[in-house]
Amino acid sequence: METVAFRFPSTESAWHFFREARREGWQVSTPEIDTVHFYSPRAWWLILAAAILGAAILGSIGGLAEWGVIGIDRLEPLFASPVGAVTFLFAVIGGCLGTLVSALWFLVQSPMGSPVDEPHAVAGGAGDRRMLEHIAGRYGGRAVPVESVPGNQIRAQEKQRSSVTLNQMLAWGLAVVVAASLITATGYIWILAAAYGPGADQENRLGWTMKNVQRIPGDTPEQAAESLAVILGGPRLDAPADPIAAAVLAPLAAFRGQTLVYGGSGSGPPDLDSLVAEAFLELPGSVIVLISVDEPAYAMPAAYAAARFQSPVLPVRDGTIPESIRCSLENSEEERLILVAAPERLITDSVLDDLRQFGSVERVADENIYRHALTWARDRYGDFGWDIDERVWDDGYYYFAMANPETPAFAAAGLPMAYRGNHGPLLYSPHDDLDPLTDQYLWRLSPDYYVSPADGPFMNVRVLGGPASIGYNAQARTDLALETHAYWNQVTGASGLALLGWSWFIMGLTGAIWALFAMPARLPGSGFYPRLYWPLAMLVLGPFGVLLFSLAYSGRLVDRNGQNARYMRPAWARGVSATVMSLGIGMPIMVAVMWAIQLRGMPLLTLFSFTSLFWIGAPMTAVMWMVMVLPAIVISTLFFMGPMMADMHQKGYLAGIRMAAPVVVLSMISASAGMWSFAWYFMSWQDLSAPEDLWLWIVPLWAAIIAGFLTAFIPNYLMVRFGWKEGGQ
Amino acid sequence: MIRPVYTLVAVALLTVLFLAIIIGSWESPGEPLTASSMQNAGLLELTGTGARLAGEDHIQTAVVYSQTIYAHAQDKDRPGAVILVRDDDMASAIATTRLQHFPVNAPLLYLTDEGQAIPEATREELERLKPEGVMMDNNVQVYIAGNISDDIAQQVEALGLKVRQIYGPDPVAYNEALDARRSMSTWRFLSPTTAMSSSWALWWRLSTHSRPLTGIPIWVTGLPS
Repeated sequence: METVAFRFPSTESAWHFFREARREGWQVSTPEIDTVHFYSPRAWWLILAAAILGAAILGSIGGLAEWGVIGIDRLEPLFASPVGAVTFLFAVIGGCLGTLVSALWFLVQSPMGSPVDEPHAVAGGAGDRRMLEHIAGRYGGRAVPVESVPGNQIRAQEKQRSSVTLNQMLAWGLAVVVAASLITATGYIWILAAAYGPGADQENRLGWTMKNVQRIPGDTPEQAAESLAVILGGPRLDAPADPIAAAVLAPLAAFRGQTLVYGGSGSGPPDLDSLVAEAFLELPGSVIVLISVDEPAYAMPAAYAAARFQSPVLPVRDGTIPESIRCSLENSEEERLILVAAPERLITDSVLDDLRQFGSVERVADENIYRHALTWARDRYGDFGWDIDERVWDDGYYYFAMANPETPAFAAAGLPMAYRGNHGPLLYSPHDDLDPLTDQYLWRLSPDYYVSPADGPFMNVRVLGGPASIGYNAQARTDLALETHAYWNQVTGASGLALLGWSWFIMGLTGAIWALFAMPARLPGSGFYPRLYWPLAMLVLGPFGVLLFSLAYSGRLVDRNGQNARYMRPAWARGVSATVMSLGIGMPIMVAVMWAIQLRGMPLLTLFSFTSLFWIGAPMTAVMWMVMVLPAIVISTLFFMGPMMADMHQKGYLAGIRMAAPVVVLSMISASAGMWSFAWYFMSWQDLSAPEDLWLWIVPLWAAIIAGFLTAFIPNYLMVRFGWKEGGQ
Repeated sequence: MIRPVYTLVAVALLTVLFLAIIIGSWESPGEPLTASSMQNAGLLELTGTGARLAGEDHIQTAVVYSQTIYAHAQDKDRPGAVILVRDDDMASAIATTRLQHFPVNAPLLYLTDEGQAIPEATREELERLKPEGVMMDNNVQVYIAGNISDDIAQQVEALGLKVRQIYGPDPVAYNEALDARRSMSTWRFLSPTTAMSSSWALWWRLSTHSRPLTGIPIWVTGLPS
């Protein structure tokens, strides 16, 4: 192990030595030159822990929602994405929040080092000393005794207060407006989804038919039942106007091929025991559905399943079952499953314990009436149960009946829809709007297509009840949730691709806020403009921007001999930094202008129709260049790059503009070529375009920005390599 | 130097202001339907697997189609635009069906009296739909398609809707104008093909775009016997 010290004529020459000697295997330190480090190793670990904690907490909330345990009110369209996507998105949001809070918490103000005329570098290791001296000599380094090197301390410079010029205020104002526009554009998508947005008066509607949801005519349960008798046809089985009696009779009607007509036999009190006995006599009894006579809303979803699978329904009154049924169960050796469709409050565990002598007993119930109905729609027990589980990727032509749990008589009137026509389970809805659990269920279940909307499958719901029972808006929401959409797009809902895009954006937003605070704190002496263009670049480049920022600064030596700090980087990193400098404001301006134009409608010119130049009038070609790229170039040059160049070179504003203009034009044209070609391909040929208020809007644009960055990197790298442009700050 | 927290607060305040301006431009949510569920049950007759869509006449039948597809209880279930066609020019009307889908998303409603009058049912439906506007075409809300008088455009504009006329003195000329516009609005820049024949347009419409409009496979149209 050998230690050798050198003295160099400048920071840059010391940096060149630093790089090359390290490449030769030497440990090199530069005790007078500060190096950029954002956090201590301990802080890094704590930030990681906070990120994991945040991801675990919010990810769990997303997971519980996906599992149907909790409802996330107003954000149900997120569930149009594949299983797991919402959990992923929430975990990303939680991870980003955890990261941001902890990263800002551990951010410590770094002292600003002072300029060094002739810095020292100390190399330690067991390499070839003559080679080391050769490298040092190449950069003007002279060997000095190790003892003469000052201690490993950066001398802190007194903080200088610099005033903000008018040019800088303009640039700052522009950056703020652009950032606010992008956050408005993205935030509005969430707000519109949550607030539903404007609707219309419906008084001129002819009726209640919608494409995915129709309403059974009938403002009373009896009217609805009579309508159904006509709609479904077949021989009638008139039932009393009592939901429990209808629940008992429905499996019998299904077994006999009859249409149950609720209230068809009058409204007198039914002889429930004899109805039950009749049903038990005729129906196979391997599955028995136990319901409570109290609160029939809990009984109805089970009654639909029982009717479809022709299993007897056994009502429990005062904790007991009819004696005749008990006798017949006792005398039968058949293996049976007893499903209890009531929460503990209505049928106690002691009743279940008593029933275990007749077979295995399982409670299929939930106190929350909406989750209760969904449980019955999802579950399957051997050959019994609907098995329409939205947590499994299994498309089908699913049909549902829908009623308000406060008017269970309507649900009872709809019982024939459990087994005739397009039949399916019962879902519940409150009067005004779908319950979040049911809404999430429908969005997740909604059919997707890959090629054509004609592919199917299609789903349909039929609502029972007059306007006083279930309102128009709840029906319309059901219709919206169940509409078929392209798998990758989902239009009104969020596709998995859209949620990946949002995850990407949220990471970039986190990075942008962090960089806004981290640059002044950890990069003291960095210029005014980089502190604006880096956060903006991260906002549009997402985690890729965070990576570029790290490559540009982390571990770099700082040269403090100029007006602003210079960070010592190899050519490719200078090229990266130069690209970000050229585009950091320009690309966000392009996106913001694009959004503003989308908001008021993109121009489509028919001037060149019927000529070979017809395509010039299309919104994505020349018009787009005129309204998006040109303003971005002009604004970026006049209010950002020009003043920045003037400041960097300590020249006048016009001289700055003259220096900036060619660089901006070249960078922006190369960026827009990559960006808009990609966007055009993505939107036109992959059918992934979306207006500015839909979830997918962000995806083609933010992906195109990466393409734009890569195409702009090429000329920027060449400009840096050949010395036409500085490597950014 | 400007402190980062000032920048953050400025961006946040401006964002809130921008959002407030946009949300402030929303129209009222509207009154939900309160009519009996039995209303027009004959015209909108249901079967176990199907549904009849009918009005008292062809004008109202077009309105029923529109109401079936666009509930407009909230922003996301309204159309991009509405297309108005003459009820006595079926060749143009059938060809127009290909304008209805991506990226326009519009129901088709009828004009009467040789394209000189907006019937009451069509006018009421226009007011109910309040189309969102087609982003790909200047947020146009109503397309007036075919050989239709300028008076109609003025009447529709008087309803506060943004109008675009696609004019052709006869169905063939109209079809060419339509084709030029559509090839641009889909961004695909395909060279405009010659006018599509009506029978081809009809086949295309029936084969690809009738079933997906519904959750139930078969629609029955026309008056109940």
